[in-house]
Amino acid sequence: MTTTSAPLKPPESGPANTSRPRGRVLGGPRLRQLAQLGPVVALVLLAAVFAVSAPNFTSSANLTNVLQQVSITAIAAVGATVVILVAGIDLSVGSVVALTGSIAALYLQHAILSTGASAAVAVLLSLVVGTACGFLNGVLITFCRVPAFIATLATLTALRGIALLVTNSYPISINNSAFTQIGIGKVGAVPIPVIIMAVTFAVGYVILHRLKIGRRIYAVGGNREAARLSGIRVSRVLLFAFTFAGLCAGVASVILTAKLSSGQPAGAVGFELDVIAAVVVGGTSLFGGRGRLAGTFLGALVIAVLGNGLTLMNVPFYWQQIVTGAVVVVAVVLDRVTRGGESGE
Amino acid sequence: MSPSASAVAPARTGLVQASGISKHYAGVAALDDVSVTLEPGKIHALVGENGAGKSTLSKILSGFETSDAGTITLDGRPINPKNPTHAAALGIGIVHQELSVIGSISVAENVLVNAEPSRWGVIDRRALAQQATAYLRRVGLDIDPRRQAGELSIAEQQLIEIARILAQDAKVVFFDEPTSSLPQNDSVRLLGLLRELRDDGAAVVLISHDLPEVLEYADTVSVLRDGRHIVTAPAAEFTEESLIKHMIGRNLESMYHRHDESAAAPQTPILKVSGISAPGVKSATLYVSPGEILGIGGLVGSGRTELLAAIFGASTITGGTMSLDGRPHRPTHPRDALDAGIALVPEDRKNQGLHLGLPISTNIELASLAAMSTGPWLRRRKGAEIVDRFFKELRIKAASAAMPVGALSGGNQQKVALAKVLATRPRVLLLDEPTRGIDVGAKAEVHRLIRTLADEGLAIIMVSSVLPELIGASDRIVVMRAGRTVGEVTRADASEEAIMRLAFQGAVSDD
Repeated sequence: MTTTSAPLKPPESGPANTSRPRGRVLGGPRLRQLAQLGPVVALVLLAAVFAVSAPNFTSSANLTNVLQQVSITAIAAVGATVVILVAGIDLSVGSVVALTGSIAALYLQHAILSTGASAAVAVLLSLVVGTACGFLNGVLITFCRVPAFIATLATLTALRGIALLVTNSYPISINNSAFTQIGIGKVGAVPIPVIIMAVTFAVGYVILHRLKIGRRIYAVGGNREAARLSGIRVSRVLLFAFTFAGLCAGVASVILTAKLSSGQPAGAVGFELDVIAAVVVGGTSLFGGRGRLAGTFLGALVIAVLGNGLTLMNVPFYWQQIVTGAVVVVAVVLDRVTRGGESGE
Repeated sequence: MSPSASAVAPARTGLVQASGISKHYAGVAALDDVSVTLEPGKIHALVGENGAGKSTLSKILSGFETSDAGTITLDGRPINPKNPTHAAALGIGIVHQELSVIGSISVAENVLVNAEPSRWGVIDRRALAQQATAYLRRVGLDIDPRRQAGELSIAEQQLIEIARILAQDAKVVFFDEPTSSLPQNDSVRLLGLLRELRDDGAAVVLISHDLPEVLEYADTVSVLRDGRHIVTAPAAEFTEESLIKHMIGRNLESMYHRHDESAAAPQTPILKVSGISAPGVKSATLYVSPGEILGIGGLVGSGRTELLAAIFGASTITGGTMSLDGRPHRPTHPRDALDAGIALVPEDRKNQGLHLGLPISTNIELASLAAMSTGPWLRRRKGAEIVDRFFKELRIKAASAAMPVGALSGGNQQKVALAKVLATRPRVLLLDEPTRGIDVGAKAEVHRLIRTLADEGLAIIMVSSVLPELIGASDRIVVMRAGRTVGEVTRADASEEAIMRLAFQGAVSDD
């Protein structure tokens, strides 16, 4: 993933809406191009600071660790990017991950007693459960016409409840080395989670820039009514976006569950916020219709590097949370100032 | 701040002198060294083609844009309106081409936005309603100020904007194409308001494409072309022809392109609509044949837009039948209509017709993605070819197809909207106010295009509030009133009187 983009760049270029009063725009096109590099600059700065001040930050073991950490957030953030591009929001990611991981772990535990468990089946099961959760969100939003914020807030609570119910709220440990390898194994020098992340981003890129549905996603997010009058079946696009986000959450869950060697019904609490933060730091507009996956990857990386570096420097966790919050705000403010336009009110 | 006090004091203030104003967008000069003087107690019209710089100039003077160069003085003092609020504080107000009424709050709150009467920070609802009512009366609106502004018609919303300007006690008021969306009788009322403002001593600026209106109401006229100031003179010194010549630098051929009377071979109707009802439509019956332009006349709010929406599947049809090519047509989604060969160019380009933030190319592709794909995969070369073809055929003026549509002028935006629906290869084309907010040159171009499309065999249904346009461009006109089709005027009988008579008095029978 580099910052180069498809020939027909979706909407981030140029004034979003010339008929509205423009905010102050700093500099010309050149400065704006620089601003698109904001996450890159942030990343380089962070890396430089931590390389000097955080012990072992540059060790290959640590860098591998960062990539492993970032992969889980980034994979879920691919789905979240699509959801946010259609001007939706998915708050249920953390609960979907917990439920999916719990069910996969339960399967692995029970199947061992009877016929012998297959890691492949566990993976497939995770993807199916994740996708189903996303589909449920989509159905609530399109057919039941519940606003995305409320619908996914409801599933955030309800799916967590189901995860605790099916596990009696105990973590379910996994003794299947084929499965756990997905979280900790490597192909050559490359951790398997990083490979899965790369594949997920590639799929996301193809969806957004090579398939019809991609154009429709940007159109629906940019202006829902105009999209409808262009003959786009908006409900289907929304349903697709949320279902795909569920699938991505399922993939993220496989890696997390494998890495922890257990299904954690109480795990991944607040995960949705990391995911949304990654998307937003990456420059995708919460109002829909504008944003790119490359940005999301960088956003996830910024947040992961920040967490990792601060941990190595023995900065207490609550400080990390404060800093992460500040980074999100700074990213959005920078975006506003450099793009001008949209006041966000 | 009672309404009666809003009359400008006898000592005339509000003399605006702008000199050497320049503005560039992405390297293109929208305004190049333009100087104008706006005098209190005068109606000053700004005319020019699309992209001539009229809107840009008014936006700079009213604080919506900042200029790259030039100075502005108000009563001799240099001013630099940084934003609309600042401009309003200086006494400069603008009524936009695109409405800026906030639909989700009440009429009264819209009128007195930022100036709500309050006690200790709590809004005084009764005073709010009273003051608002007084301003609404002045603009001739007799409605409950507590109603939600979004429920009102476009014409009424426009009057609310003017009431807002009155409430701001503006000394300098810009009207950016105030009558482009209004039916004739509302236009006259609105222009009367402009005169009242002028007589109260305000400097009134009228931006309009309607030249008879300009010549009748303006005291002074300035013509802009390609961002440059061409001429300023008293209105009496101009004729329509001379204005057009200044605007386009050449003579204009006939605006409308009817086809030959004799060539009009009778055709079998392709679309038949029988007694359909839908939201805003009580009972509509009409037909249209290939090669024909059917005009739909009537007042704003008579159900014309809603009828098009029903035919296009954008609203829920509750009764009646439609047939397309002899087969029943009952769309439940615009997709159904597009697939059947019916396309719509909506009235509201900004919110319905186009994605302003997306590139021109994407906009053109959006309604016909299936034709540019193999299965789920986009064939980007095919898309680019189609985009390229329409770009050339419709002569869309833009640096590249990758530019966001929002950066284009109104006329070019409309061409993109047309290209988008033509890419779906429709057989029936529904046009809602196709020349709204477009300058003379582009209007003629759009009309020529519409006629060409009809000659190529398209059946066209066109809604227009501009009577000369409706009469000039249509082969036949159906008039609506209160949600019903109330009569038909043939081309031979078409006159403004005949249409207005039907629009106002058309026999409304209960089926």
